[in-house]
Amino acid sequence: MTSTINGTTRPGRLRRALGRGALVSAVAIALVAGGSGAAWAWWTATATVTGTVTTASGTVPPPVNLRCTDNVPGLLLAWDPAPAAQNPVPSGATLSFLVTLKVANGATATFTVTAPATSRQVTASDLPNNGGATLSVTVQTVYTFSGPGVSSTVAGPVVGHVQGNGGSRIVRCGP
Amino acid sequence: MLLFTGSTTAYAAWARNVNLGSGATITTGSMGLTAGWVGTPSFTGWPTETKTAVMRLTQSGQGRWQYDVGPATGPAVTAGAVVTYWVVSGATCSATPLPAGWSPTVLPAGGSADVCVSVQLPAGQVSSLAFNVPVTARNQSTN
Repeated sequence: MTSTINGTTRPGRLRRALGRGALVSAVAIALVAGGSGAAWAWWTATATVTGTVTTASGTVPPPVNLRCTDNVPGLLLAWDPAPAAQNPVPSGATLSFLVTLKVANGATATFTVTAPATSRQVTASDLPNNGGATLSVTVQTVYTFSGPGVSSTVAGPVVGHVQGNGGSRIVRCGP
Repeated sequence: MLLFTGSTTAYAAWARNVNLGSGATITTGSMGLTAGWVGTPSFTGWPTETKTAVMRLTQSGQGRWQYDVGPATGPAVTAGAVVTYWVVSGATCSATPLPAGWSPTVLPAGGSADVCVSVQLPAGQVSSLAFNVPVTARNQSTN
């Protein structure tokens, strides 16, 4: 049989407690009467480990060679990742690209393209409605670990425009 | 002996005496805890990146023991670092979270335990911000 004398104490306190503490005495008596077992006091010891956190001051390189090709009824955006020497994707990170479409009134729509894909077809349905006839497209590199990810500066813009009205709208490259 | 209180209740007061003499041994002892990193940890990386390191706890003194790893504190935590604890498998961190509270395993006197410390770095730029991991050990019976 084992029993616990609860509480945090030191041996000296335990001895004194055994001399005068009714509760402790009762437990000890019960143990002796039982013929076997042990009582112990809970001792605790603490320690602290310290670490230091630093986040990298490096920057995420933007993609390069952003280009626009007409691809009816829309346009095809394509780009290249930054050269590997500048773009050593960190271990554990997911590489993706954030495409931002901005129309004349300032409204934006964004799309994420996960590597190894490096292109995105854009049609009129991708654009904010009634935003105007001109389009500006930028692309950013994004490293995602957990949470929001880390973004590069933008590549671009390349420009496009919208032709037609309603359901017949098409998007073309160029101003 | 019967005691009468009021008019309706009576009870007996019994007493029993047992000598606390033979068979009771009081043993003094001590217990200490040290905690440190295994190797040189690096918690430097990209914002939101997760870095891990192994922390080793070592008990000194008598008695078996358990440990409890508390929530991390410090400027790094305030800045957004998220510190979590995981079970070590071999020499590396596993995908099993460390059970909360006292360790389910009672360790032998003088034994050591390894704990994986995982730090998700803050989303913003920080430089040399400290975090503290508090550890408490408690003894158990020697048998």
